[in-house]
Amino acid sequence: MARNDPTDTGGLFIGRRPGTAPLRYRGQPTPAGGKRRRVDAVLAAGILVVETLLCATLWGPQPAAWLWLGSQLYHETDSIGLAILVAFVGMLTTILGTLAVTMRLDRWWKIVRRASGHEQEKGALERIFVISMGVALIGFVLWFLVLEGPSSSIAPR
Amino acid sequence: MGLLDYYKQFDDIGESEYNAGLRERRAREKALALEHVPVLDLSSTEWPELPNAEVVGASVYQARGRINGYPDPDAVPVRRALAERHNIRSSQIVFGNGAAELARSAVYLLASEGDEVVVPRPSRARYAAMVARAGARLVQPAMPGGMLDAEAVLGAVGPRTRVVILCNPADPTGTYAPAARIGDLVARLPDQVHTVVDESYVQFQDVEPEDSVMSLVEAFPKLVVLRSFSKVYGLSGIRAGYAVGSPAASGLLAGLAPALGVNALSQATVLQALKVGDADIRRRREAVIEQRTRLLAELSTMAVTVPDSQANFLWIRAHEVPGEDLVARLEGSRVRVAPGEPLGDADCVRAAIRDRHAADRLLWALREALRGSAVETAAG
Repeated sequence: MARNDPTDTGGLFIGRRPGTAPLRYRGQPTPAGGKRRRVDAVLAAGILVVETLLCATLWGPQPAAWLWLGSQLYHETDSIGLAILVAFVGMLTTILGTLAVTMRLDRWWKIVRRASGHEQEKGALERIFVISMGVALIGFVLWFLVLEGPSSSIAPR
Repeated sequence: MGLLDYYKQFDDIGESEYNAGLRERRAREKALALEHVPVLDLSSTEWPELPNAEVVGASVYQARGRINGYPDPDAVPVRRALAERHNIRSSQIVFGNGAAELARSAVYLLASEGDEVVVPRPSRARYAAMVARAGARLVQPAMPGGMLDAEAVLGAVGPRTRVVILCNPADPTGTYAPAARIGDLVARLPDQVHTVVDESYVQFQDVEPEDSVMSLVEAFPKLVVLRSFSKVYGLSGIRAGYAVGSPAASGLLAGLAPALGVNALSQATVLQALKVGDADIRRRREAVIEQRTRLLAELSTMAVTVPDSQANFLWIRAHEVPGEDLVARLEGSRVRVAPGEPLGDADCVRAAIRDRHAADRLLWALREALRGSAVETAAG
């Protein structure tokens, strides 16, 4: 057990590490019965899946979709500037919007997890974000180096 | 409980929200701590400050010296210093363990079983106890308005009267009888009567020079004047005082002297206080006179009666509030005063005069106490 009493630490006050605060409720929650808990566990898993899928869209589908939209706009208007602007602004908007939605979902995931009987202190968003980014990075590297290849666009194939 | 409410009960309090609650609670605690006002104790008349460090040092130095030996039984250096100060002979001075102890010795020495001791009323309760212990009878003529009434005192003197004790300035009224009036009274007392004038608070009066009454001992061999180091000198803890009498009253003065003298620490302390304490005494005297003048002026606008005090306290009678209630109301405002009943008049209270802040608080507390009375009267 960590000691933070200055009399035990030679006069130094050793505080709690950031992010290790105990879980504090406004009041003592009243958990439901076993059936409701099982339903909540399934619901929590569902929320986690949605959260994961939304995070996954950040690294491929959303940028690709906006690039495609930008290309369509360029085709229609013959304006490269407008196409780039729409593609990047749209990309940022939907990415930030998705992050906002996933943060809310993560909060509800924690709540539903707790309702299902788990002492869920932290959300899963950080881990999902990092893992999905890692998967996307690996996928990109495989695509770039193996499937497509780093060949010059000028040089003839 | 609705579905949303059911889930929301599992929501946690965020760190910032939790810390905001803690900060709010701490702010409340701090505010409460600031609101907590310590009691201002004005019930006692000794000086509230600690003595001069040099004076304390003299006592400590003495304590580290030859404390295994007896002290100087005649306190020669102290008496010599006092004699120089009052311009009298040191043989006229007896150094004792406080003015109260010397007064008690005087009563024991002069009054016997069945004799009478005259003490104007109201006066210090300890005089009654001294007289009772000596087996004598206490006679207490009233002092109308707190002023010494020579005719009343003379009227109370009978064939068995041996001692008249006067406190000047009087405790608890604070009134001062000038030397001329004391001299007139002493001159008219029968031969068998000695007069003891307790001048414990004399340094606070600004009517006449400090030694005016003391100088009467040259003319009246049966007059003894007592002084104390407990009040303006702020040395109550060491119990030191002295008696001054006529050169012709050597027998009486020898009888007042404590057996084997006063302890060496007290002698050293008093000697140092006489050497270095004058600046402190002057400052304290000026502070009391300033605040007394101010308090008397302010109190004259309130529904109270206060005799013209020449001491470091005021004897306050509220017109609408009985003394006991006044004590309780002032205590409710965190100001403690001495109840009047043990001092001779249950309708009054005695409040010590301290610095400006203490005077402000006393005035505020008195206004609050009297306002409560006015509201009750109006409601009634």
